[in-house]
Amino acid sequence: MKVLNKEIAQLSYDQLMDKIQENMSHLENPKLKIEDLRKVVKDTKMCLSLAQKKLRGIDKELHQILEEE
Amino acid sequence: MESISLLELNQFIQQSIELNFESDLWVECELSNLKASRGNYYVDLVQKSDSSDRIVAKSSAVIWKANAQFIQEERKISFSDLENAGADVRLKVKVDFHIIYGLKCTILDIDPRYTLGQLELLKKQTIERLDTEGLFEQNSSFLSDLPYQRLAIISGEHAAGYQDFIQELRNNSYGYHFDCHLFPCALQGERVLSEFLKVNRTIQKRKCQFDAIVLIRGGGSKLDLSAFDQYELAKEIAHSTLPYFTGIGHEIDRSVADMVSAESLKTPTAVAHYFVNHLAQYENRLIEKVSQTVERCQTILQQEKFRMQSLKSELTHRVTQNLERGNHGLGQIKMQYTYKINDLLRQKENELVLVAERLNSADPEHILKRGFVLLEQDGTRLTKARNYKENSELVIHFQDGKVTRK
Repeated sequence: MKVLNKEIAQLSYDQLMDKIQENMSHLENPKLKIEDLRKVVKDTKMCLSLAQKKLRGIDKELHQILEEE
Repeated sequence: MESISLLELNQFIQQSIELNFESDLWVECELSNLKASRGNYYVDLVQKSDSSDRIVAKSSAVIWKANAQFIQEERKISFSDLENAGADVRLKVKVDFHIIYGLKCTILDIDPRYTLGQLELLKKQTIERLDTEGLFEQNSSFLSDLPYQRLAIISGEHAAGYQDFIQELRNNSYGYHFDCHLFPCALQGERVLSEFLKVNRTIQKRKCQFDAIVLIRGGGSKLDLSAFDQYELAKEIAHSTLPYFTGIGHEIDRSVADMVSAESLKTPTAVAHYFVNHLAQYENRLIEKVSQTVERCQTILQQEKFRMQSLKSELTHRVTQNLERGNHGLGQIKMQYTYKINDLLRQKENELVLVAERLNSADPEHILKRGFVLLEQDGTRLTKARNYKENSELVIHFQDGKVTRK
């Protein structure tokens, strides 16, 4: 379950979303220790934050293109 | 029977002839087998059958030098031409009988009017024959508008007519060049026909090298012209596939050769003039054609220029129109895609918000903050009462730390 930040940084939006879905399914696992649970939540938040940034980046880029035209 | 000596016989004949032929006689006949010797001419006088060439009478004759000179100079008659023409002649003869040499007719004079009349008769017959055979227009069908610059000339090398012709061509005022090749040929006398036939055949074999054949001579007596009235000569000219140009040089009469040739002119100089003028006319036509072609090309170019300008305007208009349409379409597509992408982005943002909410609710820190605790026993989260073990260590997680109980 260890996910390095560097690895996350290289993921695309879709890959991030896959990662988030995968982590969310882990959260449902009752056997997961609390410490592990915290780590998964932290990683997922990081993926989520990155995905939001990417979305905002796409949005910004789109507006720039439209403005240029 | 009493006999006499040959001398007595010949003397008797001589006396009889002298008695019966006191004065000169006019005799009608043809000349044959003419031979010249030291200015004297020896010839056979013959008479042929009316229906064929069979000789029905023959006698030897002589023209002494003095008489020969008189006839040639005063009567303008050539004996060889007379023989060649095969015409009847009217001769003034003196009949002699020599005891040793026998009968001899001495020709003193020729009646030119009778002789020329006979020649005219022969000429007329030749013309009728050529006409019947349809040969008069044959050679003229080879006349062309193209220039005649490569000339095969039938003439005498030293003939004045030939020299005049060459000078006229060389000194033409336009500076045109003519390529002249002389084929020497006798222009009078008995060799005319045979030499003409020979050179004509030579030229016909090399006809690709020439544009025309020129038959020229520098004039002469009417009787001299009779050589060019011969049927065989005229027929060769008519059958030639190169056009014949004649300048035989007689001011009044046209020979049969003139009649069958493609073009006949009075003199060699006139023939040269004809070629120069013909070439000048050709050049003028050429210049006119070039001028017309240039004019036509300019008109076409102008028309095409206008057409291209019109096409350019139309094309520009259409392209602009299509670009405007395209731009409009692209604008619409852009708008559509902008809306779609924005929708998609909003949708994705919402998804992320939902995920964040779900993550928040699953976050242990969030749960602990709200005053809940999390239990752990034997390294496993305790979420159900039935899994609680009395004797095992229980770890209680609070927001600010954890407590362990046995």
